[in-house]
Amino acid sequence: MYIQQVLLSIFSSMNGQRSSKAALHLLRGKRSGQTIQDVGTFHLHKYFGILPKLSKNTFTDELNQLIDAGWVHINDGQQAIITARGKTLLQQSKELLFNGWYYRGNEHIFFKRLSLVVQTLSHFHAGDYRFMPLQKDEEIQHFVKQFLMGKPYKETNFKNQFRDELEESIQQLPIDDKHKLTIVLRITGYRLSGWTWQQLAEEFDATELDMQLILIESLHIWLDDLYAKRNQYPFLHQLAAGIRLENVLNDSTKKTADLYYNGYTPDQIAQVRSLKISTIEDHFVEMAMNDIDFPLNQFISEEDANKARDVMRQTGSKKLKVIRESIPHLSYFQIRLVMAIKGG
Amino acid sequence: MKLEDILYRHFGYEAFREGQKEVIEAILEGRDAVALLPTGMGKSLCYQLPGYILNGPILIISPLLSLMQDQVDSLKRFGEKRVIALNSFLQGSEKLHALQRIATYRYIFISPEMLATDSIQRVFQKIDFSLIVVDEAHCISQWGFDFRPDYLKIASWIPKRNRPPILALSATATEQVVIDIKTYLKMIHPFEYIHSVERPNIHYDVINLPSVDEKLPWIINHVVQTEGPGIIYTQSRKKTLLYADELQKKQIRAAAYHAGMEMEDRQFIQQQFQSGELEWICATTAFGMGIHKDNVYQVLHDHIPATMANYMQEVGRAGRDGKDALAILVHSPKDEDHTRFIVTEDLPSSYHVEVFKEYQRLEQDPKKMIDLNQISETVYRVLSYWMTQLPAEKVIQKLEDLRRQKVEQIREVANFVEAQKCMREGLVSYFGQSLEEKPPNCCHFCGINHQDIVAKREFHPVSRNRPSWQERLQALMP
Ligand SMILES: [Zn+2]
Ligand SMILES: [Zn+2]
Repeated sequence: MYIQQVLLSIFSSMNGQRSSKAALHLLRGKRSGQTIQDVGTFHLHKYFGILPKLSKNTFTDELNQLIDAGWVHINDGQQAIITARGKTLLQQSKELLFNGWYYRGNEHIFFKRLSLVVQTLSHFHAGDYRFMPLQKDEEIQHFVKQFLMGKPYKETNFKNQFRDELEESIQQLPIDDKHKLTIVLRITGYRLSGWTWQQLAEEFDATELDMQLILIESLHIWLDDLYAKRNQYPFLHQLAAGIRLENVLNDSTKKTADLYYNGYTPDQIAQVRSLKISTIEDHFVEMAMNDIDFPLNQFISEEDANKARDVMRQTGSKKLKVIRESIPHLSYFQIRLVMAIKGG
Repeated sequence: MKLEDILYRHFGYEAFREGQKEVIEAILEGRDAVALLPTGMGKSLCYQLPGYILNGPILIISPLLSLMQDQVDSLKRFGEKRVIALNSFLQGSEKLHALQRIATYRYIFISPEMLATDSIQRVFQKIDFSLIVVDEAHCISQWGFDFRPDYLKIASWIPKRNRPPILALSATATEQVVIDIKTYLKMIHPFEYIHSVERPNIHYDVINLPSVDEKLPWIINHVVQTEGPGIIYTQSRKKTLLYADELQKKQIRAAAYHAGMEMEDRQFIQQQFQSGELEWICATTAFGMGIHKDNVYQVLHDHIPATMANYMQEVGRAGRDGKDALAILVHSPKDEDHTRFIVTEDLPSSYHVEVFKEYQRLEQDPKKMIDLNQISETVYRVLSYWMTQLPAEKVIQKLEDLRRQKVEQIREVANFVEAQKCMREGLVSYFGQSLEEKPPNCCHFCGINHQDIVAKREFHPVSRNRPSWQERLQALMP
């Protein structure tokens, strides 16, 4: 059960320090200060935004199943705590290789482009130039048109070249054959229908949600691979253009960052932008998480930062309140920065 | 030159299909025209052919980019180069270039949204169009299934004086929709061609059951005993899943289809149905729009459709190849109430009007209602249109009228189903036409025997062999 493994992994990282709902926000990729901060604090980049449409009902159902199975229990503070049995199970499971933070749903755009290219080549090869494109999205169609233009796309040679590159690239991915099959069964061709989620779920004896997660994880792994091996798979690399988020700051945070690096203080930024100081602080936390060169020591001395880290290590807690109680002269903002800092 | 010669020379057809010539002749006389022709009956030829006779570009207003592209491609296939689709992808110098020589095109396709933009308006004012075509014209009427407020703005753009003839095209429309089309487009004594609704190879039945609970077992049993392919129309997503699941358990290749499914999944189902991999589809009314399948031999309803036009369109998907087909409506006493509940739920209420007004008063975007789940997107579309057209009190009145009319339309379907008279006659006369003769096994009232229409079901194995991923890839690109 994929979704259950995902949830167990999240709860295990959060270590009972967040309410179970935080996991829902994380999976949906909620762009709030708290969720972004959780990503940094508990190193949950993998799972950020992998299921933007996950419903609360589905989430609750899955959580209840974890509880019924004895892998998780909920404490008084609505926090999900992973049990010893849950931990064992997690240790025995294969590590999940999602990379939500950098793709944020864009993996589907990549897949749609690929699917339209394959559909087009497949139909052209059969001499059918008037097929109904599976992808109705204008942007996808436009992208694919641009991609094919200037290539000899009506030639058998090109089709073979593209197919071989596709096969080679999939072949060497560190994923099960079942997952590779899932990828290609979601693509259609000339007189070849795709399989619906329901049909895939039945075939592989899984749930529809699990099958969807399998595709998402496979795409993340694949994209990571394509970005790492730029020249090896030139066609696929072109189809992956712009899919990975190179600058992961959101627009508002970017504005704050620009002002900051132009010499404005957080208070001044709040004033100039007519935003609450708490919002600006959220931006700084996001910057701290993403920018390796974030100048932490402009906000907190190295000595204090180390103290905070010590408390975290000793108490095993990443709760702001606990840390604040031990080092009362630090502000919540300062503690949040220490927790968020990349690699911290 | 004779029209037939032009037809052959430019399109390669020897003869016109039903209705085409009449419509084209009316246009060439300079008359407005409304043509209701079913999909796949060559609607577009009604404006394509005049392009080779009339002087000046023909403007075609079409709601969907994919439909537009289809038409453009099809014209290009016939060797026509002077055709362009004005859409949002036309950018920069490409767009400028196209607009500069716009008057030299024979066919210009545009969406209603694009038509409303200032830059297009300025350019179009200087062009003498020879014909204005409104495709999918039923979108202009809130009685249609896909009311599009943008369509109502078309009229405000069409010049009042010295305008070219207007041709309104649609596949389905009731009398009420036709009236709306004529009114909103300000058509002048248009020529009307309305395709005959009589389909002698479709046989109509009603099965009366004492309770709702008996419908599912009856339908499953019927499907198990008879040959498809077929469609079961039902009203909720949940029920589409229920039927599909029950049929799958009986080793029948069936799938659910509803608007809540992912777009890809919906298309996979369509592909599989078309190719014969699936025998039965259990669907909400969402199913059928883009389907071109000639060999559907059964259409079952487990409910009373919202309008006669809906019913006709849905049963009309059976027997396209001319072979005998069966349309069964499974009925029980409370059906009318149920449909009424579902249909009127889709209308904005006076409460929605109040909330909308409140947002306006606070100078906030009333669209927030959607985000706050105060209203669904479809309901909001209807509401926001009327709020820009009428003062709030009038809107409440208008919505009340709409509600009453919808209830009335459901009553008409219920009457049709419950009437103790020939269903074929009822259907044909509802659309203002008359029936020449009745086929054998005409309907529930005249007498019908299922075995004479559809064969007894033979066993079809449900085998779906799982390929290896390499095999699949090879099959995709052999
Ligand atoms: Zn029967
Ligand atoms: Zn009859």
